Amino acid sequence: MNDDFLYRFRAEPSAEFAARLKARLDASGSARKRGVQWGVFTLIFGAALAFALPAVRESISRFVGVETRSEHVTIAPAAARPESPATSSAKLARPPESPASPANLPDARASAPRGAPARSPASAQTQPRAWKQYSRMNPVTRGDFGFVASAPPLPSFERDRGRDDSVPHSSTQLDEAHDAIVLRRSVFRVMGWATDDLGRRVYDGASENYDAIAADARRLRELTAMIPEVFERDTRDIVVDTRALPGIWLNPGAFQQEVALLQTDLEMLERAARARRFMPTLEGIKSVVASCDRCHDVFRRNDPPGSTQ
Amino acid sequence: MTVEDAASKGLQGRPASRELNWNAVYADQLPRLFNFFRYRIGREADVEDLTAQTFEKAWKARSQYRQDLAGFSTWLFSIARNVATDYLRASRPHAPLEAASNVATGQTPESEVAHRSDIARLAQLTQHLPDRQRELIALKYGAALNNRLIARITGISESNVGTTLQRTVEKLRAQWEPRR
Repeated sequence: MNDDFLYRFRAEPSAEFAARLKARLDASGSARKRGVQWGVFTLIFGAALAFALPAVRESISRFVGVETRSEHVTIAPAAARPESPATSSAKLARPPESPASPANLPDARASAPRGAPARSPASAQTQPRAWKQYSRMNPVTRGDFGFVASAPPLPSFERDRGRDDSVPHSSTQLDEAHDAIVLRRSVFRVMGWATDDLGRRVYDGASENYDAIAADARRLRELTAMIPEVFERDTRDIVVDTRALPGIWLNPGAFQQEVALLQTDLEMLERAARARRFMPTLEGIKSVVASCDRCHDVFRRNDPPGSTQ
Repeated sequence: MTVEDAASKGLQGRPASRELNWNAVYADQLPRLFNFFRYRIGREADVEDLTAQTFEKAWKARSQYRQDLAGFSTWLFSIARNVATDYLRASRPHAPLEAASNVATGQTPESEVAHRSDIARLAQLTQHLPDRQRELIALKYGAALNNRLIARITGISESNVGTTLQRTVEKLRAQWEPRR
């Protein structure tokens, strides 16, 4: 047995198969192209029609005005972390960027100056800092949101706990790493919720829940698109609680390919559900689960069952 | 023409847009993918389905392919590997090792029959190899890729690919030749 012997088993695919597959790919490609063309046309036509209506124009300008005003809200940094039990059990309130609910903000924030003038360089720096302090004072805990009860909790990040004395970290590095991990966990919590919902729909009977399955698949696909972005910050050099494995940054191509494949699987699932085809929908769900597992096998640390991180 | 030649030819067709010349790539990659699955799965009945499934996935995800991250064949075979893994996960082979020795080995004079029995026997033998070795055999002899590309696809070093393949072929030879 040598190389030639092993190569000898190669065979050409039948011409009929090659032609059939090519025709199928071409057909799906042209249908997709037509769909995109129609989508663009509808979008442009719809937008033009909408702008032609005075009421729409007015509401858009009002909306833009509101957004512009909200940019001018300045939030003062919180003083010190309150240690009272009431604060430690505080539920997640609105983020500090939201001016709508001062009652939900901690005392230090509620006493912040109102109606501050337009954004200055100092106030531009204040907002991210305020957000960091706020999120540290209000760690998200299991049960804050009923709908993500099954997802793992966000990290209760503490600067001292995460520190490795052998690695000097600056305060900025720690803050960035913390923010990156909070962002990642948030995306995955919402994905966990959508996945749970998808599982429930299938359990309740896929044939009766096509619309909900399609909606979940679309939602998951949109969230999946965020994954590469939320892993942009490389946290390997900072010792923090994370299940992300170094492969994400060592082999970004493979990671992004896994993400792309998951998106493709979700797109196929959505189409199958929209077409109300039972077997393709079930197959689509299996593919999505397999894609998730495959990515987790390589890029996520496997913790023992029951652990919280 | 090497595997990367066709892919890069496909990509260089319209350098401005870096769009893929799908026809060129399809013509070059179809036999490679088809044979990859023949060697990897060993079940003729499913090979066409898996080849089609891989192409469909690649075709649907073609807008997400990034040339700066990987060569086209690396990307395509990454999809193929995942398709094969999913397939094998869903249907584990159950043939016992002894079955390999029961396959006829060239007892009939017709060359085609001999060829068929040889590939059936090879499939039986490779089914009992560890997954990694079986995958390397499929990539090397089925898809006819060179060791460098295989290393890129599998994420192991080129020298490791060479060593593993050599050992695997020796193992297959040892199991094969007593019957010849």
